[in-house]
Amino acid sequence: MLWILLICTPSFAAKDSFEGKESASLLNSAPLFFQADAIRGRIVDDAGAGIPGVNIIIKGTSNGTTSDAEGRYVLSLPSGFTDGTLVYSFIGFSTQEQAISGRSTIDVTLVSDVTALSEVVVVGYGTQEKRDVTASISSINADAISKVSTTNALESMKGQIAGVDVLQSNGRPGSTPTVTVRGRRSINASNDPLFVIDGVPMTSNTSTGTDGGISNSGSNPLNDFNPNDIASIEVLKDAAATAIYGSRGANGVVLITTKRGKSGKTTISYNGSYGVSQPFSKFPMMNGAQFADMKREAKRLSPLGVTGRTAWEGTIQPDANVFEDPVELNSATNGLSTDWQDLIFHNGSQSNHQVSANGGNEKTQFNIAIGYFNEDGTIDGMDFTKLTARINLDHQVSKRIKVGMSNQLTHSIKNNGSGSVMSEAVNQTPLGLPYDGQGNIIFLPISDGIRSNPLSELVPGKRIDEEKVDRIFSSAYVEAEIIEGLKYKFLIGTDLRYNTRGIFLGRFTNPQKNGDPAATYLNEANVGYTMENLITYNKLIGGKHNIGLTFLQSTSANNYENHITSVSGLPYESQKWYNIGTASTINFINSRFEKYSLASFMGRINYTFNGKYLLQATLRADGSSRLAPGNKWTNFPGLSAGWRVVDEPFMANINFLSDLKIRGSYGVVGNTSIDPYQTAGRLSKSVYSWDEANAAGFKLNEIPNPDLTWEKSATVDVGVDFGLFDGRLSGTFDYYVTNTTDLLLRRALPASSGYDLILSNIGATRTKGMELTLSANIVDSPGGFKWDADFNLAHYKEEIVDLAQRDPDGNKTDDVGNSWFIGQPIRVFYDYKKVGIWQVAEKDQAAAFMGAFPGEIKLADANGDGLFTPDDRVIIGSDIPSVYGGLNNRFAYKGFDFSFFLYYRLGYTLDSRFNSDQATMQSRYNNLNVDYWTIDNPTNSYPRPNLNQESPSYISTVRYEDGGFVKLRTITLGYNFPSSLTEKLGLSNLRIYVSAQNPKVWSSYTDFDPESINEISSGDIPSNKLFLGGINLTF
Amino acid sequence: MNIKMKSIFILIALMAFNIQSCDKFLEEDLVSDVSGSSYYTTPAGLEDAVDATYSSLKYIHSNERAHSLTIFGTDTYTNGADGGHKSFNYYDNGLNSASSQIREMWDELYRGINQANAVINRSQAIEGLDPDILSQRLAEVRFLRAYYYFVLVRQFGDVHLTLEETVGAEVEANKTPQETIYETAIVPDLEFAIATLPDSQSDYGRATKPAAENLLGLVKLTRGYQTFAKADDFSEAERLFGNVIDDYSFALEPDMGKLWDQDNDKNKEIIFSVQYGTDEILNGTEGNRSHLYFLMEYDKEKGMIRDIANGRPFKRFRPTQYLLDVWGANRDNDNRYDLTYKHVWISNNPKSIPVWEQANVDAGAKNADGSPAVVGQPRWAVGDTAIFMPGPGREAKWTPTKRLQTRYVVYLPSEYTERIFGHIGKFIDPRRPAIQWERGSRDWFIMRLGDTYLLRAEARIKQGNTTDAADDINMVRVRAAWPGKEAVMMITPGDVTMDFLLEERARELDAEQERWYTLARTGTLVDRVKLYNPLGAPNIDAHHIHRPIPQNQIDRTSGGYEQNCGYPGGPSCN
Repeated sequence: MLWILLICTPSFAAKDSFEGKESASLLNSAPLFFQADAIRGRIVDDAGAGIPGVNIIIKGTSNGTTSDAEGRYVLSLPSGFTDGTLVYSFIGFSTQEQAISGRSTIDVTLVSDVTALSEVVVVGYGTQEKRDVTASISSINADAISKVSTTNALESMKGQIAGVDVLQSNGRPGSTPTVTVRGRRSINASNDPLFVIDGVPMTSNTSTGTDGGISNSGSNPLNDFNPNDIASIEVLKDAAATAIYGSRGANGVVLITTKRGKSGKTTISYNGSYGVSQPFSKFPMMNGAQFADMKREAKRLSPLGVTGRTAWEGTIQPDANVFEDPVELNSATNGLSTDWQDLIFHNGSQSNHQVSANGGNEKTQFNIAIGYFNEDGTIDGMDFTKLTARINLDHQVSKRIKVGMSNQLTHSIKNNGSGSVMSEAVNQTPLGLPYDGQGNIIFLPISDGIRSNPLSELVPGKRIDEEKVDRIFSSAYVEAEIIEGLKYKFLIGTDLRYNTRGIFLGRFTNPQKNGDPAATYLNEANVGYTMENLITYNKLIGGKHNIGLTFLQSTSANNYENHITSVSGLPYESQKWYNIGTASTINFINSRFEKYSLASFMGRINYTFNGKYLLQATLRADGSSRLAPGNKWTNFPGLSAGWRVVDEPFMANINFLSDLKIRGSYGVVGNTSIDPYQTAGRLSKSVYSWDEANAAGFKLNEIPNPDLTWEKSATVDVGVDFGLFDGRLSGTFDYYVTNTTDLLLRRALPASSGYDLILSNIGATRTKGMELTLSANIVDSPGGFKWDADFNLAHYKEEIVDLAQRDPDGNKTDDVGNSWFIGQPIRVFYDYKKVGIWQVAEKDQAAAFMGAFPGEIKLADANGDGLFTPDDRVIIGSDIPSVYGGLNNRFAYKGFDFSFFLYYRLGYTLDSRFNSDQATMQSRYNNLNVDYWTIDNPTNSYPRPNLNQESPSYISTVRYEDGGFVKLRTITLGYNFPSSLTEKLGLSNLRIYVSAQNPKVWSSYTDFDPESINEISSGDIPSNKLFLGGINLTF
Repeated sequence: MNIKMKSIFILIALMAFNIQSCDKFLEEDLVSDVSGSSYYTTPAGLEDAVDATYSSLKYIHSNERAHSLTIFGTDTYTNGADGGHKSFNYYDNGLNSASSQIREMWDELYRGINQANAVINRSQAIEGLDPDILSQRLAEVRFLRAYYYFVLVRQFGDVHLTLEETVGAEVEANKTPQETIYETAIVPDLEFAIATLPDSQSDYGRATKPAAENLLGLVKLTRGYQTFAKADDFSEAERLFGNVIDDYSFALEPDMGKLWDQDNDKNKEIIFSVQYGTDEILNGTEGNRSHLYFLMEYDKEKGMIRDIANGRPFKRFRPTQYLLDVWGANRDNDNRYDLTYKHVWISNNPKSIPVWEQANVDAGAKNADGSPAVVGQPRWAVGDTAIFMPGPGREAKWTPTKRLQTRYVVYLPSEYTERIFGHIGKFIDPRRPAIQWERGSRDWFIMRLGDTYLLRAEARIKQGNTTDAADDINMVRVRAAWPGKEAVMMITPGDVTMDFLLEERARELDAEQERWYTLARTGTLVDRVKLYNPLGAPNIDAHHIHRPIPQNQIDRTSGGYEQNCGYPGGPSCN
C-alpha cells in the first residue's frame, strides 16, 4: 500500500522542486537589481586558524557567501547597505553579528561553542534543529561520554538520560550492560533498543542462546565500538520519533554518530588513562569458627538419636562426630580458617589509549583513530583487550555530489576465566587448607568430592574460556543534490562479525575433577547488510512555510551461522581446543543457520509555520521474514506537533522565560524481536538407540502458529521544553502512555497438552511514565568560578492489561503459572511471605499449620483461611524502580575542573538468589554469615541449620530485599594547562585528571553492589571500583 | 526540467527494482530445522516420529526423579545423606504441588503421549510406507502410549485423557476417571499392540508382542485390586504372564550376577528395556544415571578416593533396616544379597591410609606379610582392602577384638548411617569416561522374566491358587540358591502369602523402580511404611497413594485443575 503512496509522492516532490527552482533563480538574479560594493575579511578560530565554509549573510536577506579554505571571504553588497549587519555562522561556533558601519574589511574571530553544537540533533534519516524537534529525543555529547572510562559507551550513558536505564551485569572484564528505554513493554520479545550507527541499523544477532551447554556470548552491539570515537548519542524515546524505524522502534532507538573530519588544520589528539581496580566488596561468608559452630548445630542429635528437622531441641555432638573430615576437625580444633576470597582477589587494572587525527580541506575531510583498551580483572585469567580502528572519510566529488565512508574495525579478546572460581571460593569450607606443606595447591581441600580448590582454577593454562571477536562495521554513501533542496542519498552498510569461543578444561579443574581434559570450540559468523535509498527535500515557501520531505526505501538482511563441537578425553593439555580430533569422546556437535530479512518504506513530512508551529508526520511500512505469510507487512504511523510559545508576541514581556515549547506526539511502533522460524512449528532432535545403533528421531517441540504477527506499541507523549533566566536553568518534562498490544507472548500451556508454551499474539501491557531533565548554570562568577548541574529523574508504572486466560465467564484472569498478573508489572516476585521463624512456644501451631518444626521458616497465612495452601502466595514486589536517574555536578575554576556524578535507582525489589543459594543452612558448604535460629538464639532471621536437607523449605522467601541505591558513579578532578604553557610545548590543549569510578554506594542491601540485573547468583564476579589517572593532549 | 524528471524516474525505477523481489525477499526457509508439517508426512519422517516417542522412556527412567517416585517412601528404602527430594521419603509438607520431580515426570509423560498421538493421527496421510511396517509402528507407539498412561494413573490417579494430537493452544484439560483411562486407552492400545507386534524385532529395544502381553498382564493385575476391577482381571493377568513365560524363548539367567553384567545387557531374561549406549551423542543428556544414587560415601573413607570404577556416590537411597533384616535371615542359602551389594573396597589413596594404634598392637594385629603391627606404621598399602562391609546376618564373627586385629575398616549394619550403608553394586557403570560423569550407558530393564514369574504368582495368589504360585516363586528362588542349596530354597504352597511374596519381590527386584508401585497396587503402602520406614511413618496417610498434581498444571489450565485429595488446595479424601 505505502509504496504506491511513495511512488506518488516523489511526483509531488517534483512539483515542489520545480517551484523551488523558479524561486531560486529569482533569488540568484536578485543582485542584478542593486549596485554592488564588497566587504572582505578573514574568519579565524580562537587559535588563529582560518575557518573555511563559514556562512556570511546580510541580516534580513538571503544574500550571502561562504569563506574559502583560508577563511577569507568577499561579499558583494547591494548599494546603500552601508548600515546593515553581517551574520557569521558556522556549525560548532557561536554565531556572531557585525555591524558594517561603513567598513570594507571585517575580520572576525569565531568562538567555538559546545552548546551550539548540541543545538542540532540527529533524528534518524537526518538532523533537525533542536528548537524544531517535536518528539521526545535526548542526547549526550562526546564530552559526557568520555567522562567515564569504560569499554562500552552504554556505561557512559548510565544515569545521564532520563528514562534510559542502564544496568551492569557484573565485574567480569568485557561484560555487557543491559539498556532499557522507558521500561519494558514486551513480556517475551526483546526489550533492547535498536542501535543505529552513522545511519546504519545494527543487524547483528544480539540474542543469547545456549548450544550444548555453553551460552552464546550475545553481542551487546556497542561493546565492539570505541566510546572515544563517538561524537554524540541520541536516544529516540517516544513513538513519534521512533516510528520512522517502524518495526524495530518499539524499544526506543539509540542513534550513534561517530566523529567526522573537519576541514582546517589537522589536529592530532592523544587520550590515555591508567587505573587500578578492586572488587567492590567481598561476599560476607562465614569464617572457620562461625562455620564450625554451624556444623555443630546442623548435626544436633534428637532425643531419638537422629539428626534432622526433629533434632532442634537435641544435643550437640562431640566434635569428633561433627567433623568427619580430619582436615576440618583439625582446623576446628586449632582455630584455623581460610578466607578463600582473599586468596583469589587482587587489584585489577584498566588502560585506555587512543590516538586520533582529524582534518581535511574543503573537499575532503577525514577522522582516523586507533584505540587500545585493556582491562585486567580482579581475578586471574579474566581480562579483556580491544583494538579498534576508525576511518571516516567525506569527499565532495563535485558541486552536487558527495561521497563518504565510515569504517569501524575491531579485534577483541575476552578471557572469561573460570566459571567456577567464584562459586568455589564462596562455597569452599573455611576449615579447609589451600596448600600442602610444600606449598602445592591441594585440589580437594577436604574429602568432599564436589568442592575443589578455587586456586586450581587459576593455574595458568588449566582453565581457559576465550572469546575472540573480529568485526567490520562499514558503511558508504553517495549523496547527490539533484536540484537545490532535493537530495538523493544511497547508503549501504555491512556488519560482519566473526566470533570464536574456545573453552578448555584441564584435568584439575572443578568441572573435570581429575577427569581427562575437555574442550569446546564454537565458531559464529554474522553477516548483515542494510541498503537504503533516501530522498530528502527542504523548501521555504513564502518565507513562512518551511517544508521538509523524506522518503526512504530500505532492505536489510542478516545471516547467522555457527558450529560447535564439545569433546572430552583430550590426550594432552597444551593443545587447548586446537586439536579436538584427538579426543576420545565427542559430547556434543552441532551447527545452525538463521536468516532474517526486513523490507521497508518510509515517508516523513516536516512542516513549520512561522518558526512557531511545528508539525511532523511519518509513515513507515515494514515487512519481516520472521512473521507468518499474510502477516508480514504492517504500517507504522507517527504524528507530532509543537508550539514554540516563547516566540509568540504575547510572551515578549515575560522576561524570565527564555524558552518555552509545548510538544505532543502519537505514534505506533512494532516489535518482531523474536527468533526467526517461530511460525513453522519446528521439530527438535530426540535421542534413542537400538542397542548401540543410532535411533535419533525428531520430536514435536513447537506448536506452529501461522497467525503470528507484529507486537505493536502505541505511545502518546506530551512534553514541554523550557528555559528560564536567560537559559541559566533549562529543562524538559515528558509524560507518556504506551499501550502495547498483540504481545508476542510465550504463553504457558498446561503440560497435559504435551507442550510447555506457544508463542502467540495475546495480551497487552501499558506503561505510563514521566521524565524530568534539568540543567542549571548555578554559578558563573566574574572571578571565573563556574558551577553547572544536570539532574534527571524518571518514573514509570508498568502493568499487564490483558493475558491469554479467561475464566468461565469470559473475564480476564491472571497467569499464575508464569507470575503474570493483570494490573501488575511484567516481572513481579510471587511467593509466600516469610513472617519469621517458628519459635519453641509455637511448636504445636507450626506442626498444625505447615507441618513444620521450631527453627523452620514461618510463612504468612496470606488469605487468612487458616490453611496453608498455594493460595497463600502473594506478590512480594517488582524489579521496577519507583524513580531512577542521575545528578551531575561540574565545577570549574581557572584551569581546574571538578565533577561528580551520582546515579540513583530507588524503590524496587531485588531478587537476590545469593541470599538463598549461599544460605542452604546444610553446613556442607560454606554459608553466608547469617543470624540463624538455634534453641538458644530465637531469631526470626534465618532457619536452623540442618545437615539432612540440601536447602530449607521455602528458603526462597529470604531472597527479596529493597535494592534501592545511590551510587557515586564518577568523581573527577582535572587541570587544563594554560595556553601560555601549552604553546611553548607546541600543544593546543593539555589536560590531566584523576578520577574514581564507583567508589561509594549508599544502599540498604549490603552483601553486594546492588546494581546488577536484579538477580545475584554465586557465579557472578563482584563489580569493581576503579581509580585512574589520565591525560588528554591535542597538537 | 527534463533532466530533473529523468533523474526522478531513475530513482523510482531503482526503488521498483527492489520492490519486485519483495515477496521472495521476505520468504522464510527452514534450513537448519525441519517442521512437523513438512517432515512427518514422509516415510523417513514418520519413522523419526516413532523413534522420538521412545525417547520419553529415557526421561522417565534414567534419572533421580524416576527413582524418587518409585523407591523413596517404601518399606525397603529410605534416604541417604544427600539430595533435595527427601520429602518423597518423609511424606511431609515438601511433597507438594511445587515439587520439580513430580512436574517433570508429568510433563514428560504428556509429551510422550502427544508424540504418540501425533504419529497415530498423522499416519493416515503417509504414502510410500509399507502397510505392514506402518501398522507395526502404530502398534509400537500405542504400546508406548499405554505405558505412559499407565505410569500416570498409578502415580496420579484420575488425569487428563486425550488420544488426539494437540494443535494450537490447548488450555483445557479434563480429569478423567482412571477406570475410563484403562477402558478406553490403556487396554485397547495394548490389545492392538498384542495383535499387531511381532515376537521379536530386528531393532533391539523396539516394543514386541511379549512386552505388550507382559504390560497388559501388569495392567490387569493392577486393575484387579481397584474398585472398578473386572472379574477376570487376575485370571487374564495370569494368562498373559503365562504367554510371556511359555510362548517365547525367554529364560532366567542362571547366574544373577550375569544378569547385571554390563556386557550382557541383552540377555535372555530381558523382555523390555530402555536403551542406552556408550556413544554420548546417542545418549544425549539422558544417560542412565542409576549408578549414582545407591552408593555410600566410600570416597571419604580412609585409604580411599573417588574413582571411576567405584563410582560417584550421591547417597540418595539406602536400604531400610527392614530390607537388611529380610536379607540377613537367609544369606547362607540365598545368593542375591551377595550378588546385589558390594562388600569390599580396594584402597586407592596412599595419602589417607591410617596407621596402627596402641590398641591394635595390644590386640595382636598383624601386617599383610604376617609381621606384628607397629604403632605409627600404615595398616595397609594401596591395592589392599580398605573397607569391608560384611552385610546383614554376618555380624557375629566381628567381635571388638577381631576388629582391632583387622587391617581394614569394617562397617556392620548396626553402624550404618545416612552416609555409610549397604551399597548396591548392580547398577555401577565403570564405562563412564570421567569420575564425575553422570550419563551412564547401561540399559534399564523395565520388564524381565524374574519379575514376570513373581507377578504371575501374585495373580495366582489373588485367585487362591497358592500351589501354582509356589511354583512361580520357586523359579526365582532356585535361581537364587547358592550351589547345593536349591532344595533349601524351595517353598511349599503353605508358605505362600502376600507378605511372603512382597518379601520375595524385595529380594529379587531390589531397587528396580517397582517397589512403590507394588505397595500401592497391593494396598500395603501405608501399613508397610508405618511399620518399616521410621522417617515416613509419622506422616504417611491414605491420600499419599497418589501424588499431588503439579502446580503448573493447576495454574495454567483454563478454569483450574482439581488438586488430588488430601493435598493443600485439593478436596478432602472421603
